[in-house]
Amino acid sequence: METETVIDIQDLRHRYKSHQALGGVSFTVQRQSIHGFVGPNGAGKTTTLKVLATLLKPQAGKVSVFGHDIVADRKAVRRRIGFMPDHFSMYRQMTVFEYLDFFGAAYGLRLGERDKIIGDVLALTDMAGRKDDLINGLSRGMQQRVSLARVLVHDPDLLLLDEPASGLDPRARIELMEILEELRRLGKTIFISSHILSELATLCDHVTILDRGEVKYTGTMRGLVASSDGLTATYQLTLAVEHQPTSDALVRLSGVSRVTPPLPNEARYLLTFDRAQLSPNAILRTVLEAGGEVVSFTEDVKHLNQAFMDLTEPGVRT
Amino acid sequence: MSSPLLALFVRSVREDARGRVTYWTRGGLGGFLLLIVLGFAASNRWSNAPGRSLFTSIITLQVVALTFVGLSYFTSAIAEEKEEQTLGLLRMTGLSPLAILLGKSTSRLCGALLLFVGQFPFTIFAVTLGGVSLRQVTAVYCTVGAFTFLLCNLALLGSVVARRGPGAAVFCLFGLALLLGSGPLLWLVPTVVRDYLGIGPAVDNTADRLWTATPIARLEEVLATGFHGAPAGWQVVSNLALGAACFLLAWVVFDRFCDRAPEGAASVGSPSRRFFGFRLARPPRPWKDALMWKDFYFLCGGYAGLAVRTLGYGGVLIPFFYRSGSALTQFGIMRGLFASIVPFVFSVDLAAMAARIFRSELHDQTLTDLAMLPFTMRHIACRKALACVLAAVPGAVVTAVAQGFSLHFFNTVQGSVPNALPANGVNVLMIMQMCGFWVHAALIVYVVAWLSLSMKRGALALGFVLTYAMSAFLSIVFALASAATGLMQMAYTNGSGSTRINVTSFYWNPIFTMVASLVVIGILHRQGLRRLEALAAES
Repeated sequence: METETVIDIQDLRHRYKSHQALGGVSFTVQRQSIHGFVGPNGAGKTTTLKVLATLLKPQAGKVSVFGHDIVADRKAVRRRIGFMPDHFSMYRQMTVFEYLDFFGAAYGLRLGERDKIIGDVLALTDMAGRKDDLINGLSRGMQQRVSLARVLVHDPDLLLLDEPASGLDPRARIELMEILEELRRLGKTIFISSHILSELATLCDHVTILDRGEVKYTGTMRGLVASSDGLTATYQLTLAVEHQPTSDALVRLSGVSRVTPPLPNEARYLLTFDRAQLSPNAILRTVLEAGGEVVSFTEDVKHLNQAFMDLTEPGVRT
Repeated sequence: MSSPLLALFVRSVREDARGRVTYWTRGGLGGFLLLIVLGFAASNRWSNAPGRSLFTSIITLQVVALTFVGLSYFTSAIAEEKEEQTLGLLRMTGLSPLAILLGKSTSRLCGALLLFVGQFPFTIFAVTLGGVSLRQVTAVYCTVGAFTFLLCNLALLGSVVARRGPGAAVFCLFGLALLLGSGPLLWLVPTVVRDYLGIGPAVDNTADRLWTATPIARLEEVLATGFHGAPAGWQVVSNLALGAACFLLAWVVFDRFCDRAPEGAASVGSPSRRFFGFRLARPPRPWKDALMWKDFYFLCGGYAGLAVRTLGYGGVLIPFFYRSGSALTQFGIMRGLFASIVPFVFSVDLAAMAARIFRSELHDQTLTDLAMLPFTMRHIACRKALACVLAAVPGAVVTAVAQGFSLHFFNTVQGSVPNALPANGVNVLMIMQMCGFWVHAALIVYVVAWLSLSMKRGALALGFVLTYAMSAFLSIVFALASAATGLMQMAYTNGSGSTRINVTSFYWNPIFTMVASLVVIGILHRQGLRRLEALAAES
């Protein structure tokens, strides 16, 4: 996979009167990735997205999209991006086809091109059967699909989606995520914001967590859920029945720093150990030698929400 | 609130009492009236019945402003609840249709009537100046009050019947046009037809009856010298009866029109575009200039709207061509009337488009989508404006023709221009005034469009009031400045000793007003584009 940087944000700052929305945000987004952008309400996600969408001029810092500066080359950036805001913004008196046709024409697509691309995006969003319906008569989920189709009508390379799943029912959310997966397969880069990390867990390969205008984490999704320093590891061991000799053997093992006792009704242990001194294989061997009947032995990744809670600060931003 | 019937009314009154806008509006009206008094002082109109002149100006402006307010403030009564999809919530609380209608309309009616209180000191001032009696003042307030009642309830009916505010405004506009125009239209029935059918006297009686039911006819009657009639005449009775009928009708049809699924709600099938029950034609594929296509078809009504405008404005030209020996004087008056009404209607039409050109984008939250197109905001605004210009072509042509007729009328028929004023001077002056109208129309468009960026409704009415206040202010500034500098020397004595009017002195006022208006337009243009960019980022 080509690892060209699509979005490059360096020390982006933005202030609304006395309120510091972004205080030196820096991160990059790679081509053909689905990059999650997560943060609590008021973290600065929408401001960052508006800057990327060329709607807001950055007050400080440097932002480039596909190598184009968003201030100097605004038109070039706009031709290569599609932005879906967090609200339903549609011409409700138009039919689905008229709506897409209008945006296709506004982007300068010729008639033949428009027909083909509108057919494609309607098929992709599963709205081909409703193309002659007034947008006003569509359900919220369908309007969101039309909105996504509109973003795709000029075939942008980068999609900026601001909370695209908000207000959708579970089924519509899953279907939307499937469409986004399909778009990645078609070569699009997707930058998607949400304040619910778990919603993006299965979709995104990279994530940036923003809180109070500052980047708290940026990197792979796996990196987020793995242990923080990389030197210690936490594994979860589940036995068929509680077995005291096994517990004793684990505590005596050199390199094991912590063994949490099993729960009353479940023989499950959490082991924290030093990777330099001990390997998972050695632990498993010790358990088997002690006579423990192993049901499962897996690395204990942090729960996404826990990771999010650890990285972000509690309370409402004032 | 113990009585559910008055719950909404009390809430609205409380909101009005707490809102700053209420006080700003009343203060603004007071300031505007003060401006009129200053204008009188500056234009030396104190000599002949100054009290009546001042009072006539105040009332004329009030009726015009009230009509505009009626088209926006009154029509939003139920329509705003429909647009915000809160009407269903009101129904769920157990409020009856009568309680909703009373609550939403009475507070607005009270608000409008309370505005009259603000002008009370000026009315007293007019009485003190002389030329107007207390009987006339009472009769005028009865006239305006009855008209306000009618307007409020006509707008209420419109807002019940229509799905959205603009539809309610159109309904109200048609109702008003019917009220004001049916009498003059009956006068236009050709004599040949009247004689052939033998309905001449009946038509004339009906036309007179309809015309005297209008506030225009009644105000003319009441404000004439030596009025001794009753304070409440046929106009008051008919307007109150019509207003009550509109309210009752709104009550009767409330369930039928207000229990429909709100806009934006999901519905099965493919609803078609409709306007007051009429199915609208599907627009063609977008033009190369897609932005212009969108606004031409979805804001200005497309070719259907263009045809309606052409017929409407074209119909207005009929009186200019009509000649009848028996009614020549009457149609001469009609020509004069239309010569001033057509430009006014055209400026209202333009302002209505200006009020919606950006507000509709803000309402649908689509400004961000437009701003994301690879164009500057200046380009986007320009293309949108061009769509409106295209839709306004029939109005522009008819207005220009009406102005031409007006010029011709003054030159050949009327002869009411002071003899001392040379014909070529009159022509130059009138042409300058015509140019002034176009600049003024552009100013109205800019002011209304700029206001619509901040106001959900009422931009049209406020825009008109502000523009006229601005023009009045400029005239007063000019009059005061010229009086101080001696720039506008009204008359001079020529070599033979006779006094002639200095024609060039008349030119300065329109020139000054036009230049000042263009400066304001320039500022609004710049500020408007900035505001649009900010709004695109904010939404």
